[in-house]
Parts: sequence; structure tokens; C-alpha cells
Amino acid sequence: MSLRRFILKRLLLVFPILFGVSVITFALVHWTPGDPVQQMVGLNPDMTPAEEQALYDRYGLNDPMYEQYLTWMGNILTGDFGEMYSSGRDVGTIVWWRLPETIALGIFGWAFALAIAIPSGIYAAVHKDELGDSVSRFLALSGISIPNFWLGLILILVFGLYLEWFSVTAPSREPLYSPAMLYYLILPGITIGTASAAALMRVMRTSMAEEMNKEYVMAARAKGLPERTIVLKHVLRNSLISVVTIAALLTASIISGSVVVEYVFNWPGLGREFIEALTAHEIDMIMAITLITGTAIIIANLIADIAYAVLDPRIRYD
Amino acid sequence: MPQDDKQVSPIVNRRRLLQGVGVAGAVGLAGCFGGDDDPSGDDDGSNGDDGTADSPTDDAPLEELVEGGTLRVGVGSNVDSFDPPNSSDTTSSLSQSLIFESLTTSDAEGNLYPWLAESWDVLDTNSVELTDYEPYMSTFTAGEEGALDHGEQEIIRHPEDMVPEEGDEVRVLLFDDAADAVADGVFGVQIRYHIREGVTFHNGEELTAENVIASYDRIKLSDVSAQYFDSTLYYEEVDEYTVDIFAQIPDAEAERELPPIGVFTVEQAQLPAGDLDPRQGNDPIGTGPYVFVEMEDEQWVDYEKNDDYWVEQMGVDSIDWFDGPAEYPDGPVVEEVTFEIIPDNATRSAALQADEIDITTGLSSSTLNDFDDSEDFSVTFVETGGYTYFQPPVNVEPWDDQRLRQAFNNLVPRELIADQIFDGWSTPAYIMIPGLAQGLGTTDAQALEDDVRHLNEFDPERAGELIEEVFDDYGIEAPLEVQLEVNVDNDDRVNMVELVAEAMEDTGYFETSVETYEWTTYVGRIMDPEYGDRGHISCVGLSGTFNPHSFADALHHSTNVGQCCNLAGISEDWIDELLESARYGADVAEDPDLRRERYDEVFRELEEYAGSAIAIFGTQESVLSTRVRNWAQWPFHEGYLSYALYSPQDERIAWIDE
Repeated sequence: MSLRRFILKRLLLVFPILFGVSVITFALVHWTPGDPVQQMVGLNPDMTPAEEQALYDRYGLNDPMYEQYLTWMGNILTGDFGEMYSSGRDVGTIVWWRLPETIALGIFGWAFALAIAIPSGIYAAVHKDELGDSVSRFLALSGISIPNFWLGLILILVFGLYLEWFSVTAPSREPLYSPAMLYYLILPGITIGTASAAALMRVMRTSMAEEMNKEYVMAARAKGLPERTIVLKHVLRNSLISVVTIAALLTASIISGSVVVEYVFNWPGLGREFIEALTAHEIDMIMAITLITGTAIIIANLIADIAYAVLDPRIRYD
Repeated sequence: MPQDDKQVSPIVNRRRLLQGVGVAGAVGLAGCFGGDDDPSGDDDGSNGDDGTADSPTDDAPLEELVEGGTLRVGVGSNVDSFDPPNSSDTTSSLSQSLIFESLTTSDAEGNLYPWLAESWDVLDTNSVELTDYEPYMSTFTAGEEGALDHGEQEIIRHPEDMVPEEGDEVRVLLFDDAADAVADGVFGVQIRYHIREGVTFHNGEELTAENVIASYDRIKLSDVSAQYFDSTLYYEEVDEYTVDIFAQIPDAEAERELPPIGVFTVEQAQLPAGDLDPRQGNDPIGTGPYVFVEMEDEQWVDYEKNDDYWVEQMGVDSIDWFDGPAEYPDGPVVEEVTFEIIPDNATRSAALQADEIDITTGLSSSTLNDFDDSEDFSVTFVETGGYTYFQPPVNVEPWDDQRLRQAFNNLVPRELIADQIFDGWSTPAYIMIPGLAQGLGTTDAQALEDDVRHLNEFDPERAGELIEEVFDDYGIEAPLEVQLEVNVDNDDRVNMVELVAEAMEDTGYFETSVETYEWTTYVGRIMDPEYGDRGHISCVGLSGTFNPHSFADALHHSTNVGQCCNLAGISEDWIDELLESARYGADVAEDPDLRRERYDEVFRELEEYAGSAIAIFGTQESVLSTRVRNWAQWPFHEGYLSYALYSPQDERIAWIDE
């Protein structure tokens, strides 16, 4: 199978996967006890049963679930993501407005993860079983173990409140790509990227260590090549195959991490919106964000597969 | 001087479920902590020990007043709506309170004053009942799920047609029908409002009766329509500066309930629901002290002082009831107000410490103590109408026995809950009505407390005796399994429920379990009309108002089963009649003393019945940086900014000390 056919085949799989994700999410949201109308009734105690029923009718919540799903899907296909029950605002508008904020945060997190993981992974592999390796592994384990929200709060406390190197809240009056905003993104970027950095570092270390024991490395050493050249030119490239793959797959963890990190750092992206939508049972918003993040994760996986295939010509596409 | 001794409450969300006490509307009176200014009720210095938080105000002499500056307010959620009739969240209401005003205003004790209306007169009170409107009602055939498709605001539905089946004939009074009834003199109360002349909107348009009518029209079929049209019958323009509003039945709360939520320009009043929003290209225009400037959705909202504010134009002395000092300003002095939207409490708290905001609310008890102990911050607070209560399943054996419910009430350790769980930021509810509503809710609060306190004190011994009697009578073998339920996203409340469960277990008569649910799930669960039959004890928070009715009706009237907030399914004719006798009828509408006597009876009877156990009343707190001066704490969250920034009715004015 050619690379082009392989990509095409994977692209075609995106749609059934997204369909599955949307069906499962839709069902889960609807099966969760409580609904937006009940929440409104709680806030409007004088609402009569008739008015309550009128709300169910207005939002189509009295229809069978499959009908509700088909209506939602039909609207999505025409670009209509629905509206917020609480405010009547257009979900699509909010989602597209928030998406760049989440992408910016994700890129920062991803960049931080790679910037930390690759050098430390190389260092740990080259100094395998030495003190530096043990420290790196300990830090990696800590990075994986520390909850995002806790790390975020600690960073705010130390660098925001005590050292005053960063503001506690985002300089939201500045444009997203202004120096002030990008500087502020460092802390949430570190928070969201730490776990990924730790996971990547461990993969990098293992991969490098494996490569270092291979015959071509011994041959290179026998030829008298400098260790630095062997590591950075030959071993690193081969080791990066698995790292790049894992890095793409970690997009999912960065996206899921954004939910908590955006909330803690008051970053107005899709993650924060998602928490608020879950709390308020805003079905259309939950579905829209799930669909977008699902698409992003699927695309990231596709990129990982393609990158793996491109980096290692021995891999067959079948 | 106030118009009279009637009382008012915020128009929005008269009763609302509280996810956490102190987060939503809350009410209180300075110095109404049973004679103790320290709400903790102890002398451990947990509050009020440094002089910063021992009163609802930070009094500073007007000579020190500074004009200008920006007040940076940290709020916990987005301003989702700028459209008062089409929003129900507190942050939106808080924002709206800076922009929009109503015909009346209130002081912190609930006394009602004319505001956009220069005065009002109660012209007529008639002894009518809802069924008297039957001849004027239109008839419709119920469709699927009993829905009617007339597409108009229902004013009254015939009491016999409340829950129709498909195909049933349903009698409904619509607005035009109400006009016919009013023309025939069939109405409960008629109040005439005289609009103040010369008041202008932010766009320069003059306020007239047309604005009031258009604003009321906007309430029809809105999110708050149910709250309005359970009282309002009809409204009409009399002349350019006069409006008549009619109540459905004689209602002691009519003056408080009838004025519209806010007054809009005619153009904005006619916008579709949801379009009165800067995100839709329509900046909100009111008559209020602040003008909307701009916003970044979910990040910040900016307001600036209304330079043409009508009070400033006319002078505060032109308001006939104002008798404050000559140096009291003619308008707010803080130049700009900005909302910084920070959902996470910890981040909001850190932002306050980092001097990125000046004021915030809704922090946890322990955080409040930290700020209260700091010299760089002050905490102002008042007791609220926000309360947390338990409801045992009154219709399920053996809880249908009043003695068992009374025993449960004696197992709620109110003092311990207030002191230990809420760190003193709440008060034990030894009577069902907090200080803020006692003015019209009892003839003598102390006497009422003396009478009923034994029913609400933590008294395991009395509880044990009562339980033993009930178990013997029913032949129940201990332990009785009981499930207590609460929302999981409020740690204080969960701890409270666990404390009560432990007290029940300690008697040896109960085997308890505590089930927690996510808030939305929990609301859906407890709003189920069948919830009361499941046999669980629920715990939830609710916000009352200056109206004493709000501490009795929502929990006990049969019409609130399956709604907010008669969760236990209490449905007793005698309770319904008792409640209605205290609020509805020409006698109580015209005689506040009689009304107080009726409420005394209501609260005594309800305490004996023990269908609800109100555990604590919360406090409404603001945490401030020291640059904010002369801050006065309004008891309701929705209005706490507009009140502190400028409220001639209490001669309050806050400023930024820069």
C-alpha cells in the first residue's frame, strides 16, 4: 500500500470514529441525571408545570433521544452548533472564539514538553544508572504523579504571589499573541506540559538506551567517531521515531489537561468553557467541544501514524 | 423617611437554590445577631477580632472621600446576560444592578423607597380570589404533554386546570382578558406609580410611563415571567408620567412584588430575548449610575460612571425622603468599575493578594479567616437570607409521625455547624426567620425564639425519648436505615450532613448513609415530584428575602412540591391556608401588625410540624483591599456593588483611596 492510500484510508476512518464519539457523548450527557430545564426550575420557583413543559418542548428535550440526536447532527452539518440554554447565546460563536486560546496553550504545553523531555531523556540515557539518570527518572515520575491543578496552584503561589515574576491572572486586555500574553502563558504551559514532558522523557530515555546498545553504535565507536556525533547524529534520529509518535499521541493528554489548567489559570479557552458547560448541563456546548477535541485527537493520531511511517521506511502501510 | 414600613427585596431570583451559602442572594441586618455583633457567637476571635470584620460597614468620615479611581471586582462567573428578564445567574444580576434601576429601591433593612417613581399610592384593595377571574378566562384545548399553544403569557390558570391531560379544556386568563377584569373592577390591589420627571437614560432618552409599560411587556414569556405573573395581573399607562399596576389578589407583598425588574428604553425593551447584549451589538442602556463601556467575553467587563446620572443632575436633595448630610454626594464617586472574571476561588483569592483585584466574594470560610486576620484586607459581612435546611420524608412511615421529625430536628447541632464547619461565618437557625425578615415576620422575635428554641436546640436526650416513643408505637426495631442526601460540590454542606448523620447514629436508633450528587444531578433529583416518597432526608440551600414568606412558603406550600423547594412533598391543607392567611387577603395587606401576628402563628406551627429543619443562616461577605473605603455590605449578592457604591437611602458611598 502506498503512503497516499494509507493516509486516505485513515482519513476515511475519521468520520465513523467521530460519529461514534458523538453518539456515545450524546447518550452519556442525556443519561446523566438532571437536565437544564430542571436547573431553570430550581432558579425560577414560581414556574408552573405547563411552563416547565413548554421549555422541554422548546429545546426538544421531550423528543426521543434518537430524534434529538438526528436534529443535533442535522444542525451540525449545516454549521449550527446550537445555543446555550442559560443565555441563548450561539454555541458555535463561543467555540470558535475560544479555540485559539486553547490552541495557544496547547502549543506552549507541547513545546515545553519537548524542550524538557528530549535533552533530559538523552542525558539520562547517556548517563544510564548514574546519579543524573536517577534524578531525571525521579523528576519524571514526580511529573507524571503531580496533579495538574495542584502544580498550577503551586506555580501561581511561588512565581505569582511570592516572587511576583508573573501576574496571577492573565493580562486579558492584551491581544492573545502579544508579548505580555505569551509571557504569561509560560506558567500554564509548564503546568499542562509537565506530565507529557515526564512521559516523553521516559520514552526518550528507554529508546535511546536501546539504540546505544545496538551494533551500529559499537561499530561507530570502533571507527573512532566522537561520542557526541554518535549520540546526536545517529542514535538520536533513530530514537526520535518512537518519541515523535508518542508526542503526537500526547496531544490527547494536553487537550484533557487544558480543562483543569484553564480553570486554575483563568485562561478563557475551551477547557474552562467545558467545565462550565458540564456544571450547567449545557448539552450543545458539551457536544460541540467534544466534537472539536475529538477531531483534534484523531488528527493527532493520524499525524503520529504518518510520521512513524515517514521516519521509518521499513514500516509497511498494511 | 421610607414610604412606609413595607419591605422590599431584590426583584431578581426571589428564591433561589443555593449551591453554597454565601454565594447567591443573601440577606441580613446589621446588629441582628441576637445582640452579638460577632456572628460566630463565641469569643475566640475567629471573626471580628481585629476590628475589620465586626460590622457590615467600614465607616469612614465623608471628609476623607476621594473621587475617581477604578474598582476592580473579582467575580466567579461570566456575565452571561445583560438582559434582566432573561437571566437568572447572580453575576449577570450584579452587573445589571449598575446599569438598570427600578421604580423603587430599598435600604438594608428592607424599607421601601420611591426611586424612579417619585411616589406611589395604593388606590384600591379588593377581596378577590383566583376563581373570581373565571368569567374572563379563555379556554384552550391541551395538546401533547398538556401544553397549550396560545403563545401568550398566562396570567392566571384556573386552579382546577393546573395539570391537564391531552385533549382537556383548560381555562386561562391572558393579558387582554385581565384588561376586561380590571375594567370591571375585578383585581386584588391597584397601585399607582408617579414617574419622576426629568430622569434620563444613558442615551439621553427621557423616562416616561411608556418605558415602564414596555419594560413590563418585556417580562412576558421571559425567564422571570413566572415570578412576576404569580402576582401581577395587569398594568397600564394612565398618563405620560403615571402607571397603574394591578395585583391578582390582595397581597401584603404587592408593593414589593409588582414593580418591574428594570426599566429599559422603548427600543431595547422591544428587542428579542437574548439580543439585549453587547455581544449582539446592543450595549445595555439604563438609567443607572454606571454605563457599560466594553467587555471581553469571559474575561472582563468595564463600566464607567454615568456623567449624566439623574440624581447628579437633580441633586440628591431633590429626593424628598433624603435627609442625609449636606456633604453627601449627588452620585457615586468611583469613576470606573471593572469585573475581572475568575471562576476558581483559589485563583481569585490569589489575585486579591497580588493586588490584581480590589474586592471579591464567595470564598471559603477558612480563606475568609485568613483575610480577616490580615492587616492588608478587610472582610465586611452581614447575616443573610440564605439558609441551609433538611427535609425528612414527611409522607413516608415512620417520618409521617411529627415526633420523629421533631427528634431529627433536635439532632441537628446548629451551634456546632455554625462554629466548626462555617468558622463562624453563619448563624444557627433557632427560629425559621432571620433578622432581615423579622420586621414583618414576627411581632417579637425574642418571644418567638423563647417559644420554639427548645425544638431546635441540639438535644439528643429529648430526641432519644421521642424516637423511642415512635419506635414503640410503630413496632420498629432499631436501627432504622436512613439515607441523607446532599450535593457533593459544597464541602461545608457535605460536612454538615455528615455531622447530622453522626448525631443520628450516636442515638443508636439509626443506621445512616450519606449520598452525594453533582449539583445539576442533585437539583434534577430533588425537583422530582416523587422525591418525597423515596424516604430520604435531603439537604439543600435556599435564598430567602426580606419577605418573611420566603422562609416558609417555598418549603411547605403544596404548590411547591416538584418545584423549588418543597422536596419532602408536604401537602397539608391547613398549612397552605395558614401560609396564605399571612400574606394574602385584604386584612393582612392593609394591616402589617395583623400580618406579623399571622406569621408568628405560621412559624410556631411549622416548628411544631417539623417538616423542615433550617440549620443555619449564612452570611454575605465581601473581602476588600484596604484601598476600598467606606464599604457597606448589602445582604443580597445581586445588589452588593450598586448599594455600596451609592445608596442615598442608607447614606452609603464607597470610594477608592488612592
